[in-house]
Amino acid sequence: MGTPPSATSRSLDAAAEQRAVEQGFVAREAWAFDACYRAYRTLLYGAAYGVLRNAGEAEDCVHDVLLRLWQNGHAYTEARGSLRAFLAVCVRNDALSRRRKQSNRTRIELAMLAGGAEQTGESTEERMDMANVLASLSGPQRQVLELAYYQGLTHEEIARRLDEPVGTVKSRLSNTLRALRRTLSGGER
Amino acid sequence: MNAHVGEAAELYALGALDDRERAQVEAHAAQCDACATALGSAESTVAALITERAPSAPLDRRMRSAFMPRPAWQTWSPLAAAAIVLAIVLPLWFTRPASPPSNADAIVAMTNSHFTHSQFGALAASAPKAKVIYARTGAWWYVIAQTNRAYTVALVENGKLRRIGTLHANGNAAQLYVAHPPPARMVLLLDGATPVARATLQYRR
Repeated sequence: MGTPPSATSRSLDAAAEQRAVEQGFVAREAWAFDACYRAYRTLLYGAAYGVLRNAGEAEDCVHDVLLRLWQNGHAYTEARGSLRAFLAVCVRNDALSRRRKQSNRTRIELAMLAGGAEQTGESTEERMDMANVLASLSGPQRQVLELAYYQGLTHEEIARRLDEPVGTVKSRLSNTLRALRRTLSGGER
Repeated sequence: MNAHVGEAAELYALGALDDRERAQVEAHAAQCDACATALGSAESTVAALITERAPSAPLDRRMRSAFMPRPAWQTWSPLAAAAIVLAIVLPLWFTRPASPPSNADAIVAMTNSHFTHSQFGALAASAPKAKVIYARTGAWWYVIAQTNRAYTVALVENGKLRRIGTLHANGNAAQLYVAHPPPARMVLLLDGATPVARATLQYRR
């Protein structure tokens, strides 16, 4: 009271703003969804485009996911933590579902056109940005991350591709993401 | 799915589950804080892998129109609104001559312009019963609440929060008059840093 605006008060404002948006999102208030789109639009569109590689389909994906969460409800709770990450994964998972449905229809055509090469999500340039992070992983970890994150395969498809038990692949995927988390947070391997 | 999600948290975040498995994880996490936290941690790692990309202007327009506020407020007849406002304001005016000058500003504003109101909706159990009465042009707001607490009035515009002032409490009635507020679509009442109520506004310029 009576103190001039400071970095502390600004961060309190930012925290209050974030809390308001999260509470509004849980209560499925339109203004909170609007605020989320404005704040995270480049991440959400990037998540969809990275998988679908088509501007129109990526836009439909972002639009449809946010409206579905608003109108039909969602599983976000305060315990989940980052609303930004929650939404990014929702959009990306929806984009993967769309691509899997498409690939069921067009798999044969794509295989013929691409000479057997798989269509991957991220471009080579974008993947170079992650090169240092990925270098921290072991060969088998990089392999399952490549198949899951970049090629969008399910754990069962990866197990078939590698001819390994599903349980082994699931554990390796889980350990890979945990190793990435430690690297990204600056912890030891 | 009653069992905890375990390593499926990372598989969910990576997109390595099929639709059925994904729905099971979501349903469990909605009811289990420990699994929701594990899922959130995995989601943050995957979000760090995503390359951001600017969407087109048409998507921005689609999203803006999708979440346009509905007219949840109702326009009262000026007489009914004035009667309620005066019922709150006049006791303060006559019983407390030294009360804050914003009462006078509010009365002058209301007698000289067309106004409407919006009820505050609760964001927390402690939310007071409150309204914001405002000029249809957006030239002023008058926030009134049944409370003895000095809640902070803030606005959210384009996703940004800005504190406007503090309610003046007098007994169990509190009020704040705001002249020339920014053109926000939402007003919040904050208890410290915690939003406890919000009201949406719609102007007729």
